[in-house]
Amino acid sequence: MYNNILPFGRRRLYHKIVLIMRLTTVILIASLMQVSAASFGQRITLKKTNASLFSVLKDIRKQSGFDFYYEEKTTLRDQKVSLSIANATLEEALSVALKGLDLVYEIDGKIVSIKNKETSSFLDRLTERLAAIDVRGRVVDDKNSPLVGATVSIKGTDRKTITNENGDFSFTGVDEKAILVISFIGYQTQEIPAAKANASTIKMEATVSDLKEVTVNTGYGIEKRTKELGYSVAKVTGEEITRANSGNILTGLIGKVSGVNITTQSTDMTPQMRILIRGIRSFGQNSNNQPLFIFNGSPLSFGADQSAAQLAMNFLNNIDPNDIEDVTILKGANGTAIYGPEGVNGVIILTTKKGVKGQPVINFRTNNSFQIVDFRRESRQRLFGTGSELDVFGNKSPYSWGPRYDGSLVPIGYADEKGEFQMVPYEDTKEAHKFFNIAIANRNNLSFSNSDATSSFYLGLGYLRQTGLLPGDKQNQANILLNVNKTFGLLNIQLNMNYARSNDDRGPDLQGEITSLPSFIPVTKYKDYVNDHWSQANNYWNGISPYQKLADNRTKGNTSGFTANIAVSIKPFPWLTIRDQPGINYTGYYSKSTGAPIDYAPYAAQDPNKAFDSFARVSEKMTSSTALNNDLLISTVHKMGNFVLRTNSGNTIRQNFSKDLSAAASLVIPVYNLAYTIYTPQLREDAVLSRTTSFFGNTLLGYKDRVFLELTGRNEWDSKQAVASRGKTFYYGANTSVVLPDVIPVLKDLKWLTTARLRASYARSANMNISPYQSERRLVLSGGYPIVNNGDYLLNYTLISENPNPRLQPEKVISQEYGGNFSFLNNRIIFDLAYYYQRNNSVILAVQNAWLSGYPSTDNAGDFENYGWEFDLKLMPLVSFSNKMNISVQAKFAINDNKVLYLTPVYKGLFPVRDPSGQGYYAREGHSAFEFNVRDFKRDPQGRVIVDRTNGMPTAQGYNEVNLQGRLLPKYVSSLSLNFNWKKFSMNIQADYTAGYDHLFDQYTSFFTGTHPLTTLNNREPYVFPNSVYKDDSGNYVENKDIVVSNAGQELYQSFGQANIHGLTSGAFLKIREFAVQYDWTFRSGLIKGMSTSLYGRDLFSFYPKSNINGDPGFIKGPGQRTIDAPANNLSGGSSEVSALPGTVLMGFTLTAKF
Amino acid sequence: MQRYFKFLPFLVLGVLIVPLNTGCKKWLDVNYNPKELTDNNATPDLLLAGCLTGSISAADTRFAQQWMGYWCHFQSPSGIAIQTYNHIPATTPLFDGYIAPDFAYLEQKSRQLGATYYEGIAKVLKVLKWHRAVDVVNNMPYTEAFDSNILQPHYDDGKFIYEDLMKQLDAAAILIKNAAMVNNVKINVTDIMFHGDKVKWLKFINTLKLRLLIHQAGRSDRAAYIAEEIQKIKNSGSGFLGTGENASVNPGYNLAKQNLSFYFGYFSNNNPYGGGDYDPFTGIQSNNVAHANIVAMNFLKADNDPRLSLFYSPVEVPLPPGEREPFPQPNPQNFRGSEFGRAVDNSTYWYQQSFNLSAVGGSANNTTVTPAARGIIKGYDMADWIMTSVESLFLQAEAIQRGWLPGDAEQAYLDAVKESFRWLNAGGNSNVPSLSDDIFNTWYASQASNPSINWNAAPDKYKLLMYQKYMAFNGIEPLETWTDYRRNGRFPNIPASVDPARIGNTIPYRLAYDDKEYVVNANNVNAQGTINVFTSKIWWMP
Repeated sequence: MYNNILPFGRRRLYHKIVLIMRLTTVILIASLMQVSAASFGQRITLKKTNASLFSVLKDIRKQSGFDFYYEEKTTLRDQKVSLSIANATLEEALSVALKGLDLVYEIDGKIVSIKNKETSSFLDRLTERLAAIDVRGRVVDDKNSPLVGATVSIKGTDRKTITNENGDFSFTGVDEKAILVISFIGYQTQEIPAAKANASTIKMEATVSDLKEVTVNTGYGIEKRTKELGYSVAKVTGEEITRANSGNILTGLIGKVSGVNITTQSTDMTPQMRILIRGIRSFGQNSNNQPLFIFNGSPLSFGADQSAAQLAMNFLNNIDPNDIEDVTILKGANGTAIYGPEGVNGVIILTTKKGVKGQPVINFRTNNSFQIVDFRRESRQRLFGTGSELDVFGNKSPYSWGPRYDGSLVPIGYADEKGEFQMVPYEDTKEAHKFFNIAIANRNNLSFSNSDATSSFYLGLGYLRQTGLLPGDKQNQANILLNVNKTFGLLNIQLNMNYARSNDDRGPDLQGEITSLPSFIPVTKYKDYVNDHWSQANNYWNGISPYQKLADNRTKGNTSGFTANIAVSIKPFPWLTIRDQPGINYTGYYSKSTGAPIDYAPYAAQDPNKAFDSFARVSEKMTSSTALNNDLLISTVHKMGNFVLRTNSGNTIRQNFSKDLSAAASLVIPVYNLAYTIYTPQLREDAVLSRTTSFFGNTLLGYKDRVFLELTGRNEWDSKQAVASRGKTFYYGANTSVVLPDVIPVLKDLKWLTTARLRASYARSANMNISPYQSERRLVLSGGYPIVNNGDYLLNYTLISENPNPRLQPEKVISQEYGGNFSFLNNRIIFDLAYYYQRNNSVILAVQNAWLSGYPSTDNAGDFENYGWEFDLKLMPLVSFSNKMNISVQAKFAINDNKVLYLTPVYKGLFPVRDPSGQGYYAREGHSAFEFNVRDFKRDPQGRVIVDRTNGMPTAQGYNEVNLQGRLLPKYVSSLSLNFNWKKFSMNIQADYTAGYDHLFDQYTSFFTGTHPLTTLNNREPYVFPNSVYKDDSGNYVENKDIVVSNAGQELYQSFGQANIHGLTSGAFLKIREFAVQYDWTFRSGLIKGMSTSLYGRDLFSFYPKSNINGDPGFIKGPGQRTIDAPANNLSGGSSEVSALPGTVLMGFTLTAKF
Repeated sequence: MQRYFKFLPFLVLGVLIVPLNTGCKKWLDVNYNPKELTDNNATPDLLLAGCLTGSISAADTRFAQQWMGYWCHFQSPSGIAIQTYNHIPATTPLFDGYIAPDFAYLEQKSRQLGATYYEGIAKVLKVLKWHRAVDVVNNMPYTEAFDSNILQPHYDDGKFIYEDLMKQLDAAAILIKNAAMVNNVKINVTDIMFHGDKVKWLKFINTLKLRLLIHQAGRSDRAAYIAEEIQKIKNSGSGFLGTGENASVNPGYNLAKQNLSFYFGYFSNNNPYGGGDYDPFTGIQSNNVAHANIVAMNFLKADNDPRLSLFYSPVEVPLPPGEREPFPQPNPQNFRGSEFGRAVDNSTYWYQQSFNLSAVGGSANNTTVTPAARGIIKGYDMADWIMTSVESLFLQAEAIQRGWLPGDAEQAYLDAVKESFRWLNAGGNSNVPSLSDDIFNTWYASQASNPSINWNAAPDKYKLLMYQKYMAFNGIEPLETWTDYRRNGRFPNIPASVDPARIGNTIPYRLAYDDKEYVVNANNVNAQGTINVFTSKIWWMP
């Protein structure tokens, strides 16, 4: 149909040659993609009298920036038109220009096609001339706000218009019986008789479900329609994220996207999060399985390794979720092949709000939330108090191995200077629960936005004040976000900036200490450690009061996070766009930790905890990370016949630099300054610099807008690799998408089928799990050096124990994905499914070598596969009682599993890894990664516990008896959300169910200290160990019926503690994750245009299997200072520290006003 | 015009690619970290001090101090591996069988750069590390150790390793003897042991050779080999470490940088500066372990040995008369110890705590090294020894007694014990060793009829020598004591742990291999057969 392309009036053959040349060259450089569209909202102003249509369209093309294609048969030059339009939209301008001519236009993406009117009948023309009535109306959204830019067309004709800033539209001379078709992306198209529509307000119903024409940002600012994609993407609106959320973007994404597993891992003010998209692709100790974040087109990345990934996770806390317009998630290597190793774990694209056309809008939002510890699930023994059988302190021990509570007054701790003991009622209290505060967060946001034809402006300001669960913990944060966009002719410049500064004040994490206290200790009575006799350091019953610990040991820090990028795009020709986007990410952290000095009175030294006085301490830490990046993209578009070809080629440059400085000192007097140091302060400086660059190309070929094929290639050079190994890996991918009803016409006749698409993709990418400097032998300066020796400076370096491996290659990951999207009954039911299979055949394993082996301690030494299914079902609405009330449902279900296929023989099929807290996991050949190495009691072949023949006691297995059980990553993750709307009232409920995995709770401490509920078995009276056997003289196992344990207290339960199988628990849970009710007001006049208020709760109810007596399997640590380094993101989450809390519940309310 | 623009993409790409292809390589070469060196800029002088401090004998011999009856935790919490002998791999906290790659790297780097002095020292230190490990676990990786092409090094026979170590010492002696100082920069500074004194190095090499030969003395089939090697030592003419000549290191221990003597930092109970370690699992601090064990203490008391107050400090808080004690202790009552493996209930025996028991010697007195500092611990800035002059003299005495070396056996014995008194500075002025000799002479005279002390009164001269060697090594060289104990058929008679949870009734002969080896190097470790720590012998045991 469209066999003549582009410039006007050239000979056809010539064009063909040029076209072929251009195509060949473009394919040769393996570039591709779809046209990057800057902003195309330009307004058109034209005044012509009797001009040729050709020249008029040329002017429109220039002003709009759209590409024009002309059907060969059209006789543009012969047509003369007169027109006068000002500040018109493209559609308006075209309508005016083509008015009365036998020509029609079609807008497809950024392409305008002009063709002859084919169906133009006599009747049509007649209808047009019978200008019967004028129609005026207003189009509004479901909240009664005007919809700007909605298309209103007259059915059966080519007449259409666009609503203005007030949502108003008008037609003149419309047939009375005409039908108006009102459409807007994201809303259900409505058909209303013209007569009825006149002078009325038309309310549009949102159809989030209609993904057919939804465009998504697929990276590097490239927008694509979902139907062009051969892989799955998901888009979540900012509103969904903030609905029941107090300020963390990732928290708001939990359960919103199938295949994306997000876990809140701590109860901190800025919680530690883990995010895994489609499980893991690598199981090495240093593997990074975290997705790449893109913020307004620019990577929010500090590098490709684990610590950089953690930095990016922390950086997300700097972004105010209220400024987020939407989040697009590209789930796998298939969608992200163009990103190379950066995107192998998926890409999360954050786009902030932009100025909305029309009146300037000022938005104010305030949010208050309250979080409490959920003690409903806490279990501990509440029958026995202080004492110990085994350790050296006997009855002075803080452990819970004493006698049973009897309500009497008992002495605790050591005598004071007068020889008197503190007397405390020996009975259970829940004092420890009261130790934790209600964590309060107050967040206020103000935003200003506006835009016009050539520019847009959005300024977001945010301020957050927070207190933590631990007494004294507090934090505040101020955010500023600025997005401006301006078009100067062919040039478009967009600036995105976000700056956040937060101050925090944290105490030591005492959760473990508090829950280890015997339950009769009235812990909240020791608040006044200055004046209260038994709370003072000298007299507190065991060490010093937790309140004094909190007050004496503070870490105050502040973080500055800044990200900015400028996207400059120029479109010298309709077929060519050049876009360059340099950006910077900076994060700087400063903290100062202080510890007050303690001087104990001599008599206090009877408590061994008080044997030594301590100096005042100070430690200072400064870290800064700066990431520079530049993305250059050259995009072209070509249309020939039934084919549209888009190409993109580009280059990325990344530089990451981080620097840490720290110093710590003991001080002469409590003036917290390094200058008062007693000794030379401990100093440390570390810096890491890494760089990468890449070239990539991509082409997308579309046939008749129904079959699409995309090819991608990329080569990468990374400084982290040894020189010999650099730049030798080429990554590539292909994907295809087919719109079925367009291909198989018979499907079009099925009334119930709205659309159906099939997708397939293949990508060969890599996971750059190589740490900086990993390829070289390194030596590090030892502490305490240099020293002067024999009159000269003496230095001492030691080797970093890892043996280097210059041959190390990035992990090659091959991904396949197949899926389909089906919608029925006019998009009322949408079903999407995807299957993926990823294979990593060169997993980098950082391993413990054999004793004294000099072999590289890191190698490509394993094969791994990861696969799963994702199902999304949307019923929108499920039921609709009238226009005013409807209920819709969304269900998501994902299955993920993986398997270790091969390990270098050295591991004998068993690869051990360790998370930062020291917990070990195992990847076993033929099994899923990871499994827990649990120690059980020694058992006979029938599985009965072997006890000692004389004392009846069981023994834990030895340390080297490998006994693998459980699995670390969830196999099933699902969510169900229910949305209820009635007039201006809406209600959302989201429930999450996750299962098919285990969690290893730290039980050693609670068995050791005697707080574990199992320690009350048989009231700590000796009993016959259940299901046990003993070995008789002949070596046979004989069922034990009468040998009772010689001790049913600390001695016995120490072996329970060593048998950590008692902590291995099913991680399954069902949570009422979100509950939100909202009410909206719209005001026709006055200062305030609209208001809404909402009340929400998070994690209101949690249900666990009966066997879980330990608490929330998500939390791995408690509130307070972070004592360990950033966790390896795919390993953490399998086991809890002592300090993990049993769970939390959050409630909050929000008030929004729009001016 | 437009036709030219069609080539714009090439132009842009070309402009980008050309500079990148040329500048790219250098732009990417950023393997730089201000705190670290890489293979390119490492030199032996930057490595030697660490290898020397990493070779001191006190580093991980705490287990042997306790097994050999010298030390003991003052309350011996029950159930820990060291007391039960259950699960005792040659890894921390017992004995770190891991030999850092630094030693091999120092040797390799020195050879590459022609720094022969450094290379010779690297060989000596390698000998020290390997022989200690062989003495603890017998067969182990040696020839294939630190080879970057070998994933799972095979285990060499302990005897083979010993013989090769002797060859390494031969080579080291030649390298050091012929080393030109110009090729060995800063050796006088970085050699924190002998400051580049070649004579002392050669003496140390000979003494170390003698130690290795003495270890295998109990094996009659080694007589010919030993004779041959002794002849080589004699031929070298360098002799052995003499009186006052300690192979000990001191990089310049100081308070300002918290760089303290290892022994002081870990074991002094009069240490306000820190430096020790703490096992959160058992709650045991390193200085908790450095308290008297009644085995060696009662020997000292029985012999009325003046070194009692030099190996141990008097108690800070004495036992009040009539107060309960878990077991009676001989006089003097201001020196008290604990029994290894006996858990003591504090609520019953109130006076069995840290300050009621003797800490490791002299520590109550000295914080800085002065000529007057007596005892083992002479201050935070004291040198840490790799081998003491006391050991050298005892080794020579044994060699003379065995007829390997010429000399008077009795005189050699007396010199050795006297050296112990001097080393401990019994006389109170290290500049005047004769003061210490006087103390010895007086005591020796007073014990004329004591067969454990007096040469003439002793029925078995060899046992006398070994008994006094045991006494002299108290808190100083327990690993060698354990070696002597094993090669001499469990002499002297040291009781095993009394922990009721112990799994054997004798002191183990060896430590087990690391658990990890059974996973990552299973074929080679399993080829060593089943290891029983109570019965599997080290190759040199008779």
